[in-house]
Amino acid sequence: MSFILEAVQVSKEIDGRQILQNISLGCSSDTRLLIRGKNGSGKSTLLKILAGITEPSSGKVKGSAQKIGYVPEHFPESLRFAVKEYLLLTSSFQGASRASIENELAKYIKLFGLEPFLHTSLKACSKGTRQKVGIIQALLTKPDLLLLDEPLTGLDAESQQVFIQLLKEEQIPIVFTSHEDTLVTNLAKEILQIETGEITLQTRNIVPEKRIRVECRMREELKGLPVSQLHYDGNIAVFTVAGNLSDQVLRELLQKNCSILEVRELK
Amino acid sequence: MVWGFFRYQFSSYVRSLTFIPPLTLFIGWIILFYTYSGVPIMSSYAVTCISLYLVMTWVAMSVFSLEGESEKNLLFVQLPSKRDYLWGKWVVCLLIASILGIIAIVYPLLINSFRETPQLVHISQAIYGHLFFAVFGIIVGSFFSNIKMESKKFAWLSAMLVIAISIAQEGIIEKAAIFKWILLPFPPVSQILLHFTDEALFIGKGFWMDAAWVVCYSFFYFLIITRMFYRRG
Repeated sequence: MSFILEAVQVSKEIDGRQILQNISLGCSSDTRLLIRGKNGSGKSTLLKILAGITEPSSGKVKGSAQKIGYVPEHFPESLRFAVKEYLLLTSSFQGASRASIENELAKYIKLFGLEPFLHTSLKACSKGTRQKVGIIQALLTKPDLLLLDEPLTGLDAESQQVFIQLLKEEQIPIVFTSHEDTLVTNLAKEILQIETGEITLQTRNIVPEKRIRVECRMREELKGLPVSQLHYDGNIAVFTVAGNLSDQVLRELLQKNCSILEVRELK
Repeated sequence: MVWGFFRYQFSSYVRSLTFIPPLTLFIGWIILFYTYSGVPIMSSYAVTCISLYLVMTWVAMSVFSLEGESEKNLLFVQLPSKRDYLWGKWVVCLLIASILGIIAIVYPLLINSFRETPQLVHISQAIYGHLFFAVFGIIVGSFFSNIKMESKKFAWLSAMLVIAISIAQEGIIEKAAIFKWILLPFPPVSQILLHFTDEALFIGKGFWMDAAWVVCYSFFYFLIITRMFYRRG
């Protein structure tokens, strides 16, 4: 099997202390791997090794991933840039055109509600806003693999939901650490217990969900329907619905003369 | 080199305001130094070369300590390669060195400070000298910024010690010839200054041999620093 990124027998020793010992893992195009372990067990170090930030003391990391998106646990506090300026600059490092960056950026800015902070210095932003910037800078590179170190830290409940939904929709392979149950239950397919190096499958009752885009004349028409993560863009509403309820919701919407624009199954 | 990263680095350096002390000191010193007119050409340029060496070490150390650990980690992932990070820093240093070098060379010409009219050979020699003294400063600054030291304070002290020894190199070797080999790893400052003479300026075989050594030395140290940088990462 070919992996987009593979760690083989990776160990790391820092200042004479063994942090990681013989960790092996492979990331394919549908990976959603949670790295679990106690504080100081080397979760962040493993992510940094996978990201190529630091080298393993032994073992190797190989793979075909060209672009890796990395969201650190603590986004730097002392950056000397405004939000938009920083995102435009860092996303230009990979050689993308300004127009395509601006397009993508506008989408994420709207999604995370960052419009009021576009020209605010990052030093003056709250922890949550900085974390959103950290997430957007990783997504803007259109990564082959996302490495997330406690990505929900500092995010409000709404932004957490938006982010989780986005990860489900974009279907980018993810390796992440998290102490938040929301992310674990919603995203993780496999769990790597870092102390033992064992990877287990995440067992949960997977309820397939569908993402539906409809055009409605009135917002009231969606009231009372069993939908979640509802967003409006003018007359267009986008929402998620449990797979077993989707037919019923679609029927009701058609009866209310709404136009169904898109129905997409979420993995 | 990633152009976007150059802009990132340059903006970050300018906004950090750490450029103010070294640049003010250098420009102030140049103005003060050329207060008197009728000064010898090459001796004056030799003094400004040494000043540039000191100031560029200072600038390089500031440029290399601009980011905290977390920002640096992000940049390593955002950039196509870690090499771009290192080159981005060096290009910023070279840009600042060029500005300072131009000021040091052109200012005395503008205010007519020299007792003779400088010839093309003087100007060429001055450009060569200022360029490589700036390169030595960048080498010393980036070397001690990338070396693992207990404290930042020791990095600064070590850099200053290297500068002092390299400037005094010729005198030390005159006292004890054995130091000729021991001091080989230090920047070959005297191989440049030796040719900054106000007597008949002659560019012969000796000059080209010394220039070749200076170029090889600089190239070799840039390679060493690159390796150190990767190993440290």
